[in-house]
Amino acid sequence: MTVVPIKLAGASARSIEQAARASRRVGTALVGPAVAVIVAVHIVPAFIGFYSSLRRIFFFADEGFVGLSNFSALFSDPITWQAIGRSLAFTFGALALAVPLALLAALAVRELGPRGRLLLTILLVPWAMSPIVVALLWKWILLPSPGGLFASILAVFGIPPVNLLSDPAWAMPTVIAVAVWRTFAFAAIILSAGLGQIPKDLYRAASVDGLSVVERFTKITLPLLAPSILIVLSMLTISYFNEVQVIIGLTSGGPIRSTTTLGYQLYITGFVELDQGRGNAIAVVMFLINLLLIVGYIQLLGGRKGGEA
Amino acid sequence: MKVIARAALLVASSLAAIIVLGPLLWALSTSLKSDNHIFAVPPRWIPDEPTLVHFRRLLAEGVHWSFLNSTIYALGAVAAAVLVGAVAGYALVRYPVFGKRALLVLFMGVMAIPGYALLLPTQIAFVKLGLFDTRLALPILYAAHVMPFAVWMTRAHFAGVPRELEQAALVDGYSRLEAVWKVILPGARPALLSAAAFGFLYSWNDYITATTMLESPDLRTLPVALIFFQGFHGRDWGALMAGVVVATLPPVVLFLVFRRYLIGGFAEGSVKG
Amino acid sequence: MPSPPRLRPGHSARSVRFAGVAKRFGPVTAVADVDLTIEPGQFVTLLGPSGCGKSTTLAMIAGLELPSEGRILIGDRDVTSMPPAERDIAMVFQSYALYPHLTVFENIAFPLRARRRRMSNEDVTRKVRDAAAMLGLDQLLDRVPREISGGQRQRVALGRAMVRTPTVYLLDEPLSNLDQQLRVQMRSELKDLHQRLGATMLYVTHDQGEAMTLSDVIAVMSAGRIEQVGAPRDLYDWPANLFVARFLGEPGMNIFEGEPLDGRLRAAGVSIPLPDTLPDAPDPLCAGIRPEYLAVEPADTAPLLGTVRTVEFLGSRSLVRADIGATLVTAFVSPDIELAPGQPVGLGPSDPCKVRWFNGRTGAAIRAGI
Repeated sequence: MTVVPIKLAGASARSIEQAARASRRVGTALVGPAVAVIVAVHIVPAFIGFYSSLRRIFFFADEGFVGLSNFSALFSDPITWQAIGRSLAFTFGALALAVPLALLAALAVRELGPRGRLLLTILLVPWAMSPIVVALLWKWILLPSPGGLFASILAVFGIPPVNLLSDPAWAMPTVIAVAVWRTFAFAAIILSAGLGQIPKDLYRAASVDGLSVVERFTKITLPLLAPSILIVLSMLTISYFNEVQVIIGLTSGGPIRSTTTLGYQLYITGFVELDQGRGNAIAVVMFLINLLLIVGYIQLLGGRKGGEA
Repeated sequence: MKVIARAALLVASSLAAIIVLGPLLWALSTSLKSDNHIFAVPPRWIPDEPTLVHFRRLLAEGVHWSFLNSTIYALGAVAAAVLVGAVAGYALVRYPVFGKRALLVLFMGVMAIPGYALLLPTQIAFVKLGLFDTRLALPILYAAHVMPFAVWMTRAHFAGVPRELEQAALVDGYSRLEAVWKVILPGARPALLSAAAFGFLYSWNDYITATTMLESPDLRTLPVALIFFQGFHGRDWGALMAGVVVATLPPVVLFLVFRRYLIGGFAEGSVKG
Repeated sequence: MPSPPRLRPGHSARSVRFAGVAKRFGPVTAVADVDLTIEPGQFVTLLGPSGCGKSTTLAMIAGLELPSEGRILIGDRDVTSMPPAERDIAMVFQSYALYPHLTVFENIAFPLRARRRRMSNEDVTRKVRDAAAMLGLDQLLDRVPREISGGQRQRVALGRAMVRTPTVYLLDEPLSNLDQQLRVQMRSELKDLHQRLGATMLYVTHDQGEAMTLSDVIAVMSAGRIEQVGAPRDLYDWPANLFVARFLGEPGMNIFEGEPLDGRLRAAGVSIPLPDTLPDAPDPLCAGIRPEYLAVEPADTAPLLGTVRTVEFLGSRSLVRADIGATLVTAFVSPDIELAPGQPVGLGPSDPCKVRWFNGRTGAAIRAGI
């Protein structure tokens, strides 16, 4: 073997340092485009939104700084509070309907085995559809005419056609039902995956211990499914709170504002009436509520994880 | 007892399937009936004399151009989002990146906040930048809305791929890029497909972004065109349902073809937390 | 000290040299100041407990980690910051790292298909078939990794390494994912392979049985440092320090710490005569005796006096554990000697020449009078 004199020369040390730095540069460069897009399309508009909410802007014409007057006008308007109330009704009404349905669907999917996968696929078809198209479809089904599908079903029971969408008492539940029809199966994916994580042995042990079916559900399934339920709750809350397309398609906020949620109010104020200062004030309020919801759910989820560890 | 429970389960499941699929079949049925059969009492599921007149009506209205717009916007957005997102997802797993933790929080946070709350300021910005009502407006926004999801999806996948696989390829005489191309990419197909399929569904199905970012009739997407059509011909249910069928077919077929990746992607993501 | 056996090195085998190599991950030092030379054709094992830096050392030769300091040479080439692809080495990973989407054939062919090798398809096929024949993989070439057994995967990983006649083989715990029986079998196959190829092989393991049977040279590592380098026999007979003495052997060497007084090492229950060749013994002083060099002696004259804790009958011999002072001693004794737990027992070195001496403060061996 030829003996090579080995020197701990600075050159080598420098090239090592360079290689490490190059690696960090490459990594940052690879993430760069994604970050740039996120900043340009999510962060910058958020700041523009805050900025615009402090100015009087009509039809893209900026008439100057007005402080918090957009907000004070917004909050002194009873219509705003009504819209917030409608938002809460829509969000929690939809949650109350979607989560139990999703849980039932997930249990059925698990129970049916291979046929369960087919069931899940069928239930998910509406989720693959456009919300506005779903609204259009249901508008036709609910048409209060003797030839309408819903009216015909009512006719079988001897009930005359009713126009659910123009009845102030029925409009909101109907909109909720349609929104849930489209989305509940998505929650079933997550719950069914969560159910799959529960070890089968626990159920065997429980039946050996003499627990009834109901007890097995409340003492094993529900507690162990809690993390998945929380994920589902958080995703659906945010999604329902920001739902606007189904409402635009089905009721346009009516009748007599009974389905005008905050999201729909933002659409009308900002995009239809083009009162962009006030619209941005609503957007800021919605953004903050979203942020609050996200932080709240992260706390809940994080707290659970910490507790388990 | 067991048999009864099983029967009840099957009946309930079938009922659910009917409630879900019934409306879709009803739309299909309506779209194939001539105008004087649409309101027949009692309603008929199978059209007596099926006709394509409503679909021809849509063609006459130029709805196929909107269909084409929707396709181009969605494909462009998906290509951009998956490419940029997967590269970022890979880098976040395998490279030292400046401010990695903060970036992860940024991506996750942005994914949670829906684009709708930011649409109004985005519109103002796009008007200022001259992007409002252009062909680029929707691909850019859809790509940006889908990208955090693509990053999340691919990052989760790459994190599960053993580092040794790439290291083996490096030792075997390949460059980093070749190693990723030959060894990592083939395995990443499910994650990429799941991100792409979700991205397509999101972009194709959007109405609110399209209706607020575009004005010109020749730039419209399919959902926007349908709502405009409804505005002018609100009682032409045959044509409207033909529109519903045309707008629903691509995403539903895509969903059925890629359901494994879509369902798998979300299921895995939620289990990993 | 006998020099390690030298095989005729294969034509492609190269030496590997480390000069002052260190690796730090932030504040953690994984490898500290390693100097080591591996001759062409040698089978060298880095042996140590997990986390001792042996895998990091291997990764630095492969180019998968960059050293924080020092240089690494393969043959005459300084490869310190060279990309892995240019080093002309082969590596077998603990997880095998087989490409899941490629068949066995394509897995083995993978290195040959790299652009830098520009090999014709016929050559690739020929080389893959040769390697497969050597490893008995002929029948499996069309399968994908998930369809073959653990032992077969292991062979595919070896085939992928062999097929390109690399300058150095790096093997990172390649047998640890196999079951016991297969591990012993693959161990001898690996030894056989090394002899046939005459290749430089660097092997990382925490299993001293593998290290002992396979290696020409073992480098024992602990906490990022090389404790001792030498032939397996030398390491076993003449551990350079207390760490190696305790680490090698199953069970390891018994160590008695005490003070040298009146020509004897004295501690509670311990009174071992010092050899004449150890005139100024340090204080504290340690004596090391392997379990097989301890014999039962009459209690009144025995250098070691204690109480039996357990006796395990192993057939050809018995393993006795006894408390001597504060030390738990293990000894292999004849199965004919009747001992019971709780019983007092006298023990002593069966051969005074087999007692090893260590500086109790530094842990370093004292090579007295050889």
